[in-house]
Amino acid sequence: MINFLKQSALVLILAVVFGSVLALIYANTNPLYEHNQKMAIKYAIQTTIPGAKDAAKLEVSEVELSDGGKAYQVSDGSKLLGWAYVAKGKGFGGDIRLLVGLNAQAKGLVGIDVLEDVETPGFGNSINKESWKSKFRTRNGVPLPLDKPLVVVKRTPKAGNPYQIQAITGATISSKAVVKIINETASEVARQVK
Amino acid sequence: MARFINGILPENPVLRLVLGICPTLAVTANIKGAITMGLAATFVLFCSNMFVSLLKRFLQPHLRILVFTIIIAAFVTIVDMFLKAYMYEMSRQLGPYIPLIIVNCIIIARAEACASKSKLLPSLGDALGMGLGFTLALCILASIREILADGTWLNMRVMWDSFTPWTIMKLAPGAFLTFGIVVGINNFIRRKIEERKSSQP
Amino acid sequence: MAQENKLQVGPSPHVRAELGTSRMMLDVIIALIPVTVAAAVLFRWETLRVPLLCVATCIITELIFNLCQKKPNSLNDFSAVITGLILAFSVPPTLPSFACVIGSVVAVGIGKMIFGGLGSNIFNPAMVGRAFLMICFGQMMTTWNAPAVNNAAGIYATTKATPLAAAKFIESDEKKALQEVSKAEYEKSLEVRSGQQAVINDLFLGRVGGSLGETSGLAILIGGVYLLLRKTISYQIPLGMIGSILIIAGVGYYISPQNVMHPLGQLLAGGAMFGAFFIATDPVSSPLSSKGRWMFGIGLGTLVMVIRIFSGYPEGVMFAVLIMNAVAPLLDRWTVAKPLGAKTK
Repeated sequence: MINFLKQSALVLILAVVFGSVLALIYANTNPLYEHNQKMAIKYAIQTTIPGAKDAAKLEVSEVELSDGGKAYQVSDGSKLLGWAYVAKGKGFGGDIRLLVGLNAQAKGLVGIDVLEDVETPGFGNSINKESWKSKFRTRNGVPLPLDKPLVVVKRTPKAGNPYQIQAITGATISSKAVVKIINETASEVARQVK
Repeated sequence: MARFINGILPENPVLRLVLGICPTLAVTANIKGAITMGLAATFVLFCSNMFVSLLKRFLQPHLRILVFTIIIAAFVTIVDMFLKAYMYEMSRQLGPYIPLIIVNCIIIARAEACASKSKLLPSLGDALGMGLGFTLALCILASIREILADGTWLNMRVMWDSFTPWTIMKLAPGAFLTFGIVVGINNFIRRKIEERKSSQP
Repeated sequence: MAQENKLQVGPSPHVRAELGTSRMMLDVIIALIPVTVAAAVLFRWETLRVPLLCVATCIITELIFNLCQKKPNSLNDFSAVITGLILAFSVPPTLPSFACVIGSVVAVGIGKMIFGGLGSNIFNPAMVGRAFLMICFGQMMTTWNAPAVNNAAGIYATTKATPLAAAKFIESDEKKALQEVSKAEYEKSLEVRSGQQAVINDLFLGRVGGSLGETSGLAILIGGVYLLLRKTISYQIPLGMIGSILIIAGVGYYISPQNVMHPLGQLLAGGAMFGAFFIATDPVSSPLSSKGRWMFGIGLGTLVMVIRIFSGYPEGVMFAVLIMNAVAPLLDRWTVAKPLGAKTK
């Protein structure tokens, strides 16, 4: 036993020393890390919800959803700007995580942002492009309706049909995946936060 | 000092010893990531070589790998926490590859082959040389890949406007192709140099 | 070595075999003439820039590699010319010139010369080049123009999708949306899928959108039959591939005509015919034994159909060829011919 302790003394000492050093550093860096994470969500919200101009000034409070997820209630301090929530689903290459923005009445879709994806560069990862994300913005100030599911089409949608989203050339599967995630979650979240 | 130079080209860990290929292939899609990765590994290598060299008298043969791993893991965790706090975007981009430095064979190889047998100064020189050699190799690969895949170098536009990006360079096949070609060219140059040396005297 | 000493050369007269590497390759070039003519007629003369550019780049690349590696000039076996031609015929006629050059350099440089030149390459060089282009410039490689001849005739003048892409067009959830957007297009894709006579005729003559040399079944058939008659290629691979495509497509079409295109359409559309006669039969990257060739062909056809029906890509000949190339050495080992008089286990 003594022999055993002697042999492993170095390991034990190192473990204690490094353990305490790590704990110290963790205590100092973790608040910063959490702040970073919050800011990252705020920046994503800033691009998703119209009216949210300055990420630093946004006030975000969390609302529990029935499936255990969270929705963010976004306001600029005085006025409710809208709702946002993180939705996840299968894409072509793996999971896609979206931030979906709803308007203040939780009745329409006002924008999306892609938080994480592993879609094929050059094809599927075009879902990160502004030209694609802008298809989910309000059109002439009118948010996209939630009463019927959105449909992906390959050609230019009929003018005035808010349910049609034109697929990205060469990335139909990824386009469909994004729309499917929205269809599956948006109306449900809207119902819950209303 | 000789050790320092040794690591950069003659025994470059990536191009000559073909060690640490996982991060080499994974994080060389752009130069910023490559530099961060290289410097993070250099820091860990430097600290682990320092500690291993200082503690080499106490090392038990059968416990030495355990000790190496504790030292390396501690410093990798420090780097990881630092990046998360001060370079959040970069840490998101590098993802799991920072924690994976723990199993990077360059570091454990240097601890085993060099630091546990040498005095403090030579092992520090060795760590710096190897670390910078690693960073250099990553940067070479990343430069080629970023220029071809995005037409940019360190986010500055270097190619003409109508340049069409080579998507393959962003993906794993592009990494393997670039890596193979760079190692090939390096070997070719070395052979040329050696031929010249042997023919001169 | 002792083994070599046993090989004895008998007294003259010897039979002269004409079938050398360059002879075979020349045959392939001759067989590609109808395809070239078809391409020129269907897509106008300008598009011949693609094969010219590819061939020229392939030759120059091979020259440069030979110089660097200090090897004797290997151009006279014509393999670079063929790689260039096959690559050119498997890309869209609208492919920009610089992409043709890059693809050719990759095909000959990385696909062949790095492995040690003709005979040592594992993969079909032209398909390596095409795969590189496909991943690199996906958008360019999947932009198809309707053949120029149709603009006068007015058939399919506006449609750009290849028949395979068109057939893949409808999935149940977007049927309605599609009908709203373009009724004509919807009907067209149904037409293609069900294999109506007019569509099959168009496919056979090549009056559809597609790769430069892959659209006209007729031209490929002429070239293929010539190669078979000259015994430059063996019949097992094309037969195995075409047969398995027809059978699998037939069964699929019978079970679910909603999702699978008509078998004749499957065969004539895309690169199946061209692949069967010109790409898969590359003597270097396909098996040597007769059994192995049957398996190679059947494996190809099966993979093509699996990729076409189940994957996100409308066409699968390129990936099927590359996968089977990798398997070819194993097939060879498995089906190695027993030497005459050897003991059987």
